[in-house]
Amino acid sequence: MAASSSTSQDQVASSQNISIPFPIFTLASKYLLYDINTITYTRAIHNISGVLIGSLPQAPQQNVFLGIPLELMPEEARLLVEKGVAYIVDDVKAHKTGYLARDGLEEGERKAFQLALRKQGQSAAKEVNKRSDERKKAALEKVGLADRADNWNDIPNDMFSASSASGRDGKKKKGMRRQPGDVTPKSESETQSKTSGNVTDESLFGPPVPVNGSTIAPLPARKPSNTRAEVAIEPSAFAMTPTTSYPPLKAPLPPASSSAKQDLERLPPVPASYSLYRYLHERGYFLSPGLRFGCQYTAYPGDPLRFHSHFLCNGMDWDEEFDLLDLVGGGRLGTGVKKGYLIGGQEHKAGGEDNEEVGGKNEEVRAFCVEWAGM
Amino acid sequence: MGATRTNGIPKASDLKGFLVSHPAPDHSIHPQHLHDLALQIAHNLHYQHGWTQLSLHYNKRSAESSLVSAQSTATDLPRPVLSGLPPHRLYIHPDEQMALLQQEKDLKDAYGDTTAFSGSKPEREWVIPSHLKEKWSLRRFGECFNGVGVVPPELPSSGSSDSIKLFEEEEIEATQVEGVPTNSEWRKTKRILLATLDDDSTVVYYIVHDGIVKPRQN
Repeated sequence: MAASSSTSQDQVASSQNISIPFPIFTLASKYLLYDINTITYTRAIHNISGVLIGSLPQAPQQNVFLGIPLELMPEEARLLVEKGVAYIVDDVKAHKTGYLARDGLEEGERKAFQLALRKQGQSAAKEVNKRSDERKKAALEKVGLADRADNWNDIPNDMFSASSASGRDGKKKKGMRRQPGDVTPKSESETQSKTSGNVTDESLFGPPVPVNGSTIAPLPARKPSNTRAEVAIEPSAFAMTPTTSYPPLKAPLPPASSSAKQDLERLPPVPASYSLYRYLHERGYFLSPGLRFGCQYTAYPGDPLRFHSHFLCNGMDWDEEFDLLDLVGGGRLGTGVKKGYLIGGQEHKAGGEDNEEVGGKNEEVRAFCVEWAGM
Repeated sequence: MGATRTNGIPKASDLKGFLVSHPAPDHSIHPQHLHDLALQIAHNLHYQHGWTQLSLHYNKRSAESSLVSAQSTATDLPRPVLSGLPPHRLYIHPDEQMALLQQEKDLKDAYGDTTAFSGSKPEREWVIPSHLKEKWSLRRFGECFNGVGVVPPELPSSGSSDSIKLFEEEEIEATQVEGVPTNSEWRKTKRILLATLDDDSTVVYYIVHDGIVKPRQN
């Protein structure tokens, strides 16, 4: 690489607060990038766009506007590692060692982090409780008078229906008995069911059942809070899932460069088409997965946001046999979508002696482009 | 069969006659079936697509072939190959097309009409015969490209030692020959026309480039 381009590369890296090499996290044999600055950097400097795969938990079906993390093809991860700008971090292992092992997070730090998480969960639970109480009060004030007018019998509404949650009902009735004239049973049970439904919506994963000796522990969100003497019960904390790993953990450092053999072992495994991938990438093409055109890569002459792709690429071994029907199909599809069908691979020349004369030239990648002749 | 025709058997097809009348030369090293395949493709090109000046190129069997094989492997043809002149230009590189359009526009601006614009002239093309039942590999394409040049040679007047003229045609007018560019400035990379024959004698034609060549914007 030219000196000028490497300096500009460094400038971009430093201006975006990326330390080179940056980590590529591998999880379930996927290669992921979580940092938007790193994603920008690989796209702008290394012509690697990857695929954004992050969706919203509440709208997992929409796949038009996806966000981070960015998934890299194994070829892309390999190329970045080979260039020396990235290293692979096994995400599961890094979390285990970072959080549990002795050389990872220190005892005090871990405690502090757990406490912080718990506090976060408590405040979230409090917030949810507060909101549900407010809603409940508002609803009661709205229906309270009207309901009392036609409340000719004093029988609670849920006595007509077979109730299974006896523990909850028992507690509720007890609460009613304490203050019978306050709210009508009917409205209470109505709002109760309403709010409890809302609460379960908000806290998708309910809080852990507090251990207080009793077998039927009421969920804190469902406690009858129509009692005017609002007892300030500390709600149990929601279980919080931390959204970032670094912090609290420290990102694993790049492995110290050791023997070449060990370095080779750290490279992500790639399919046989990697040589074609690298060949096209060296020539300035952006490559993205080619599933939508039934090929391995679609090659763009520049950033995919600016250009239409030029080629549908399939890489293979030099002696790998294929049907001519595949070539016809690929050529016809490619021409139909104004692209070329490109096949290629690393050339293995016959004869071992003249290899040395040309100085490793026998390992050159050769590519062929197929277009329909229109006749 | 065609030679020993009897009254009960219908007349052999035109294609059969063509195959019989063009036997493989004795000094060709290629197997008979590849020779016949090439002939059938040539027949299709000539009569169905109007190609002219078709010739068949093959490798000579020579006495010193065993001696020179080490050097000549790069330029040997792996199978009989055709070359010919299509009725229209078969392939225009996108950059050339841009230049042609610009040329046409300039002419129009200068003279007000485009009658003087000649457009693109047909160029001789290489044709590699193949059959759909064959398995191909990148190596085979590599060998084919190593065996052919960028531009096919002009049609030999009477056939040389490594090519045959396949169709007897009337003498082409001199002006037409002049119009055919022997080496276009745009023709830099090798290209072949891959002709694939199926059992039902359908032939499909695909252009294959040696290297990365950006696609046409048809």
